[in-house]
Amino acid sequence: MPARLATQLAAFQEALARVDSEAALYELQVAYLGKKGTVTQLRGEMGKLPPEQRKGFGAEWNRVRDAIEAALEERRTYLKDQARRLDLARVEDLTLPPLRPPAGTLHPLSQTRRRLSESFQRLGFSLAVGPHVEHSKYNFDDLNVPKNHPARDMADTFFIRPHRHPGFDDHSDNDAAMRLRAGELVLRTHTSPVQVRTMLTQKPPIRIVALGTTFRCDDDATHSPMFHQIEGLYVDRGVTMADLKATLMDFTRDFYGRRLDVRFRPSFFPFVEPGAEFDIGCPFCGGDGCNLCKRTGYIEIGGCGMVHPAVFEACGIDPEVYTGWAFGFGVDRMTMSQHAVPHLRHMFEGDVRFLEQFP
Amino acid sequence: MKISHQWLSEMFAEGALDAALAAWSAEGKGAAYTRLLTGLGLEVEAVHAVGEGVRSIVVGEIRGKSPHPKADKLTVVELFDGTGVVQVVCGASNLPPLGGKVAFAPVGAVLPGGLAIAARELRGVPSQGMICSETELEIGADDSGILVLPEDWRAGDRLVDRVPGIVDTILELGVTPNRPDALGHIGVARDVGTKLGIPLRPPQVRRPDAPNTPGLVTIAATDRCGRYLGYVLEDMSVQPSPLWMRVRLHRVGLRAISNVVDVTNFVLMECGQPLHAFDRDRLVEGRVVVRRAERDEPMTTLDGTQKLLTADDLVIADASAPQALAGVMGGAQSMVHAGTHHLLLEAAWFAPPGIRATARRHGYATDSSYRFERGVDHGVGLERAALRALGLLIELAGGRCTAWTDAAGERPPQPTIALRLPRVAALLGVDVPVDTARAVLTGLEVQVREDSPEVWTCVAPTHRPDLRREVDLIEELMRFHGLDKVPARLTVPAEARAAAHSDPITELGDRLAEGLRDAGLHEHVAMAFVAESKVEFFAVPPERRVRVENPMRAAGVMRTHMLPGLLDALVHNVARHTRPVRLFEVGRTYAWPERHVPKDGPTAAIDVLLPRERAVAAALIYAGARGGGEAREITGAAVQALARVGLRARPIDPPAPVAHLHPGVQAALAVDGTVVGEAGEVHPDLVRAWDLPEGTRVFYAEIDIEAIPPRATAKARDLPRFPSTARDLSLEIPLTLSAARVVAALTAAASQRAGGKTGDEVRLATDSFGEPAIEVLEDYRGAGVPAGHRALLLRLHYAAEQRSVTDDEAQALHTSIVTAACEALRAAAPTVRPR
Repeated sequence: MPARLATQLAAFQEALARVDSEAALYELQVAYLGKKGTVTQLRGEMGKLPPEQRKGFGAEWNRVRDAIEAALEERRTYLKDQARRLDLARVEDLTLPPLRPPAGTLHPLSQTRRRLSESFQRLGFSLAVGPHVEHSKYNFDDLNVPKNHPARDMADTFFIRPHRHPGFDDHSDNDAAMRLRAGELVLRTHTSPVQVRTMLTQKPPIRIVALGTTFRCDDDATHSPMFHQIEGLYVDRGVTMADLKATLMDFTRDFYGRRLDVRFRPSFFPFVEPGAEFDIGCPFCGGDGCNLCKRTGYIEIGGCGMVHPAVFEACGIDPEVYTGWAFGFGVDRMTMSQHAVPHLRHMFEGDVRFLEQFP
Repeated sequence: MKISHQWLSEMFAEGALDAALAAWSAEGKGAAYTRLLTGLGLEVEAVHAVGEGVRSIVVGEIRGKSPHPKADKLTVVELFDGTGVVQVVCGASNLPPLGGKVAFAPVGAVLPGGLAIAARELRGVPSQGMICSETELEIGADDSGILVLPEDWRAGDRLVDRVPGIVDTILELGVTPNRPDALGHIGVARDVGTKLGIPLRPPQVRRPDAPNTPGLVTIAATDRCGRYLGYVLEDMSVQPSPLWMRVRLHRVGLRAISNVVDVTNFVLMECGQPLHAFDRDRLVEGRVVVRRAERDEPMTTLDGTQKLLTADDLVIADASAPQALAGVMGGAQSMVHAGTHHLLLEAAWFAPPGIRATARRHGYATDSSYRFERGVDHGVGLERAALRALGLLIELAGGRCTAWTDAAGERPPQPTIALRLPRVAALLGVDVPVDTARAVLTGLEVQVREDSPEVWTCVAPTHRPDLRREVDLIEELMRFHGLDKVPARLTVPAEARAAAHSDPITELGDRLAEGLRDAGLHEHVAMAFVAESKVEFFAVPPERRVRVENPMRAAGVMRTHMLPGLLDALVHNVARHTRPVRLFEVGRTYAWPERHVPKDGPTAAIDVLLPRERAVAAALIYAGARGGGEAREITGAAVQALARVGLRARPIDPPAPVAHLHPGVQAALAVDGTVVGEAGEVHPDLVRAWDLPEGTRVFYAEIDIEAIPPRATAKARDLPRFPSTARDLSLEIPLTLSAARVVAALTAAASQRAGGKTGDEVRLATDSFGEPAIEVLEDYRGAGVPAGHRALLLRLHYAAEQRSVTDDEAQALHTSIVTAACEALRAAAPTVRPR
């Protein structure tokens, strides 16, 4: 090998051993094999050689170039491997607390309300709403609970002080407001006035749920003066109590994930006749008996029945043409049993240590 | 309502109930009753087996008494128990004389309370058993001494043989307001007999041989009193009742008083019919008038309270003054007392609404008013109850009936009801067999005329005021046939149903709640009513506050704002831990409208009378005891909530400052120029009023859900093909000038300006939403900025449509915009200048 080629090769090999990055490797490649690289330049000198030496030099030069290229490639591969190995040797502890915005929660009552509302919407019930401050006509009278009837004792009522709109004495509507007597406005004691409002506003078929805040003067370990109810109403031709039972069973399948038995016990609610309490097969044990159902296999849910003809009449619906059913139950107690909430007061205190438990 | 099994048994032929009950179910009395009655709608709330411990009690005869040698209050009694004489030490002061009879618990007996009787020594004297009191045997409420038995009882007799029915099963029934008949044993027995198929056979009664004397009773208020039966009893003596009567009353929760009062209570519990007995000698002219009271007419009821009556109260008066508040409570003057000899016994029917109004007006809730306001029997049952009482009075108090009368007022009509049998299945989805229907109606004493196989004409009995229409009878059929027989069958198959829809405001509220949850807040549910003191800081004036007449927990005002409830929750948290408190609530606030707002739709006439209820989402952030926290977190939470409903909100200068927020730390929340809410720091006065530590910084935002504009479907804009060029701007402005105003001024200046070559001028660029591309990067306060000022660092982006922009043209436009904007801002804030 010509001495100058050998010198270059040796110098390259020495430099290559010191290369520890791909960038340095590229620089080395440029220095020897680039346009102005030292080895590239030696090739230009080939023309100056006598013809008989040229062939031999050319072959030697090619061998040196190939050797350099191979060494560069080998080194490149090595460096890549090295870098990958280093990269893989990195350690980060992802069991450290995750970085995220602080976690917020929806109130357990809201979660139950939403689930109920979604379940019943899937069963074809539209959501209906009404005011919390209600007139006793809708809260009682039209629901077949006349004045001075003991059925009014079934709900201890909060009364709202009547209000006279100032400066509108000339307005006829305001005359009614002025005539408003104590005891006529109440905080709704149940969601049932929404039934009345819907039947007054809409023609059958009617298929609604009303879900919302209700009020009764009751305040102890198991009663809050403000609580929540859901109420369903279905009015059409040919609606029977058998349909009510089937619908409630369909509801249990949607809500609890399995179809549970529904049991009626005769009872009394002024706005339905026949009236019943309904129990469902215990969703916690499936009816086998557990502590939550007191070993009966059933849990009491709420009241139901066929809409009383007097209610239909008050709402301008002909009870000879249409029949209907209604049901209602408390959301708070259902929520508490679902989430095993130990005390009712937790529900309305707003303690973040309680609220954050319901992601 | 407590119902005694023994008492129920007496409403049937002897042994009939026990036999029928055992045949119906083998599960034992308590369980059988529970299933039977609950299935009939008379819910059994509890069952108590009583009297088992009395089985070992015998009649003891006192043969000797001597003082205890070591204790003044104890007596050593020689007691004959029928077989021998035992020595018993007794502490009672009412030991009868020699030969007297007492209730004796021998050694080995276990009393109802669980006390096991053993031989023991009392201060050195052996005692072989115990002489018992009523309370120890749980057969009465008198614990003042031992139970003294009639002298003619034989020593050694078992108490259970002497007092039949003392061992009993007591059912606690929850009776719904529609079933006044079930407030007496006969009514419950009628249901039980109908279900079990055994005929009702209540104790025999008979009419007196005395003359009908109409002058005894005058009904002046015939609309309020439908019927009044009066009986005169003479020469009777008021005494304690016999033991069986006292035990019976005790079993159903009443206290024995005297034979006369006990008989009226006994009949109350047996027939569900309240009776009243007057001392006739104390009635002027010995007669009564049923009339309305005079306005402010005074009266003293037998509990000793003085009442001023109203003209709507019904009274039973004698010839001069009220002697009873009809159906509610007797009067003190003519009440039965130990020396009463002559009685006027009342059995009446009063119109329910009037009784209820009077009871409520004067604050009474008596066994009597409870039944009258639900409706008692005005037919055969009324007379039956009176005659039952008469018979018992003559039996227990002696005397004879010398006169009676039956005065009539307006009795409620007995409705004739057409029962269409096919209607049963149409309503319930199940048929009731005709035989069952016939048996049920007959058992309940409904008169039935079977006009055709489909239609029966029925007349409801007077003891069932709740049976008024066809559905009421259908319910009766179903009650007895079994509501559990209703099948589960949909009327319309699921796939044929119309689609359901949600409520838009509820839907919006739910989405905002999710947004606030995602911003790291916890949902709270506060009471909708608060104390008046908690709303005084807010803009709703007192006359617009909605007030509760009968508040609880002193919370007499419906909340006008959400903030008080959230502050209460904050206080609760701060008192218990030091962590951050991030809360929100979606709910309603209440206020009377400022002026009359007309309503429309079928419910308008009612709706105009109601207060306005606003749906509001509110958020509160408190950084925790360690401090920190930025006001902008609250605007962030609100903007994030609105993003959840697809809206881009931005904080702007409040058009009118909100009183409950810090005047210098608040903003309005705007969506496309519509103000939908507010955000800021809670006013320090409120922080103080809620007793939070001085200097606590609390941030609050609320969104008026009904003000949220509808969301438009987002339309895509083409992406810029050429890059934009940015220019930074540092502006020195007074602290009171908001970034929103600076941006607005720059936007306004830019809208009138463009630069560079004609046809494709360089302009202020727009962002992905078509808004001017002005970023607010930094709010600097510190060295180099004069007092009362700050430096706002902004970045403005410039672009042309079809080309890249040059630095020179961008700079020229930027300079022109900044100059114009500063000039405009200086009109209100003269110290504004670029830095």
